[in-house]
Amino acid sequence: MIDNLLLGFEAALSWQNLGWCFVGVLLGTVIGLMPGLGSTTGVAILLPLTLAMDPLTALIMLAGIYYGAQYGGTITSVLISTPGEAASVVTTIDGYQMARNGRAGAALAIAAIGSFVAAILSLALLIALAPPFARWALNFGPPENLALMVLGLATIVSFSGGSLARGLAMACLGLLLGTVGVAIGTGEARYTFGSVDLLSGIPFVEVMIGLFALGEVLHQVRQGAEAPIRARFRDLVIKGSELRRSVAPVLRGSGLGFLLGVLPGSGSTLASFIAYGVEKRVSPRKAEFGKGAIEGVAAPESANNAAANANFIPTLALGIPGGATTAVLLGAFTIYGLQPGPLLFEEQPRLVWGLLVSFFIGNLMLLVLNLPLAPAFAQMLRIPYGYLYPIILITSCVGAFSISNNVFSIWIVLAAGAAGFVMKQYDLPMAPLVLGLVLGPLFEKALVQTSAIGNGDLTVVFASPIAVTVLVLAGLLAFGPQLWGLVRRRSGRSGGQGGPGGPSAGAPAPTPAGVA
Amino acid sequence: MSTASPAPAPAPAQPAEGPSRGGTAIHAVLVVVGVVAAVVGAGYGITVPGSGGEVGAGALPVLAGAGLALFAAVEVAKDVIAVRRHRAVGTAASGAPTRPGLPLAAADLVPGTTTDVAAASEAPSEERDIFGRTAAQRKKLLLVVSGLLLLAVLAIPLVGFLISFGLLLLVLSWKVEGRPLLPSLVTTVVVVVVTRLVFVNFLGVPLPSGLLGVL
Repeated sequence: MIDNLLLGFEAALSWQNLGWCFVGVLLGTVIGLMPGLGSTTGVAILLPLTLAMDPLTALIMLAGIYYGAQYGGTITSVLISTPGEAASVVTTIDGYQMARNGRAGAALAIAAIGSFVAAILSLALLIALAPPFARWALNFGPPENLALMVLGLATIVSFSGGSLARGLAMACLGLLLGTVGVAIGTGEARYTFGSVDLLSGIPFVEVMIGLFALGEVLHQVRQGAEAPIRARFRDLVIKGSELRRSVAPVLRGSGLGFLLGVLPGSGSTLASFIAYGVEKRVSPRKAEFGKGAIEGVAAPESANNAAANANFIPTLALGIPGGATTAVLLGAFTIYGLQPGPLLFEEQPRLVWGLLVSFFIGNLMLLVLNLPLAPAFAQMLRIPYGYLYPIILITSCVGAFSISNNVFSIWIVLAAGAAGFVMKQYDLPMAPLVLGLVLGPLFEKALVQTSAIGNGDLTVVFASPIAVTVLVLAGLLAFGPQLWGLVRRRSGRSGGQGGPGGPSAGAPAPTPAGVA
Repeated sequence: MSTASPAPAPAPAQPAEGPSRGGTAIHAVLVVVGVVAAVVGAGYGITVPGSGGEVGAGALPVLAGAGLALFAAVEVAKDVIAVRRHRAVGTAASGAPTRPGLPLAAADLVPGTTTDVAAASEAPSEERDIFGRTAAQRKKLLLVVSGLLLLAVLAIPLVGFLISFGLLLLVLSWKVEGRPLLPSLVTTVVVVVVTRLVFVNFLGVPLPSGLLGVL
């Protein structure tokens, strides 16, 4: 493992990679700050910029955008009560209250420190666990892959937000969109309506840009904006007592976040909600939660960062995206000609370890950048939206065009943007659609191969103990939260808390922004 | 902030004002899309002809289409039941303003976006944003922005990408958003120049220059 780490440091510490890592972290923070723009949008919009780069450099920059945007989203959560990310939704509860109490700086500082600690802890676990995970997954054949895809699709439950049926409908829509183009196996053109452009399928990045960037802009234009709270420099200093109060929540949040992040699809949103819920239950200052408790910022912020890192285990080792942003990153891998999955660790050790080590460097940069500069970043919130959204429109369209140098890409962005707007207006969750779109072709490939092995008999899946185990896990993931909720409601009526409680463990995370 | 505490999950969101008509219409459209996709998909062949029943090109389309129709139909049914229940209960609970389409329970999880903000700002009869725009004005704004964006894309073959989108930026910031002319103009020029430098000069993307062929 030491050799691998050294290889990673050697790869990540080149001037070029350090530079682009810094650019990614900085751009990510700025993007996370923009109202409504989150890491998924950031990665999708800036992906075209990286096409000319070396894959490792490109992925380091995109990963930097990912966790940079998460921190940027925290700043908006605290200062204007507008989470840039679904994973920061829960931070708004106490973070915004802290800001209103004049402790905006402390909230931002503990979020940065908590995120950093979580990143380092989870990174150590990631480095220890990802390779054995990948080695185990090396034995996978088509039946195991099929089971794995079912597991990936089962995670949609946790992305569904308010209504499971709505989430499943969106997942089916994603799967359906994924079938457009030439069929795997038979080579038949499906749903192309005679269009040559559609033969290669609905382009993934353009759909992401449309859904997340354009859809969000239209949504914001329709919804209107809210007044920000200004952060003053003297609010920034975090007190020793606040730091001491945050140690345990940060550690608990990191642990919980990592555990949940490892599960494919559970994403950082769920982790942040559960960490908040747990903290609210175990904290000696329960009464302060919701009124500006620093623990209410420290725990979910650590959790979402730990989960974001842990998300890379299923993404890199199994090829199943851990969340919407890692789904886009997965798309990026394929654009660079890389196939995420167990073989990646064997075939591309420099890339994998360089990327993992870059998380450490990127998080360090983020801490150094954000502790002193958070109020300066916060000034960006004062850029009038009247300038900002037209710029986002241009960036989205030029980015989409540059992927295949085709105006058709821009039309896809417009169509996906309109769809994204409608989905936001009517609370249709986007993450299941993204997951369906990403996993659809992989699922179909596994399905076709498995059925070929069994001569049309798909029950060959049950002959593999690994596949059966994965399927059982999928079942637990799909139905476990409901069963757990049912058990809790029954037992909660007799001895539970009165009044509104925290979000319960295993509960589907609400995704008001439709992003997970 | 009373609405800040998340409701005990995983209780499904209960729309307090009953489902919106638009939402039900969207669900109904999804049912139709699902059915049509499944029917068309079946034409691709659920199994490979002549094989022992191997999965064909139509299997996933049929599965996904049928699933879409089924789950969207569940949502339509839920909407219909909710409307009936809502009518039976009366409209007593419909005072609180909510974001359209967002069920109250979910909306309550986003502090500062819903009821408490409206209450904090002396509860105006119509929700206004920080620019003082009413909901109706924002609706009109949305149509204008969408229309102009469409126009900009349509104009690409004529005037080229950068001129078309540069004009879009200028018109949106100056005319539509009412920002001062000079900063709008400066922003436009900076964005156009940076876009050209990054995409055309640095990345070598051949942005369409249209019939004008200027930029």
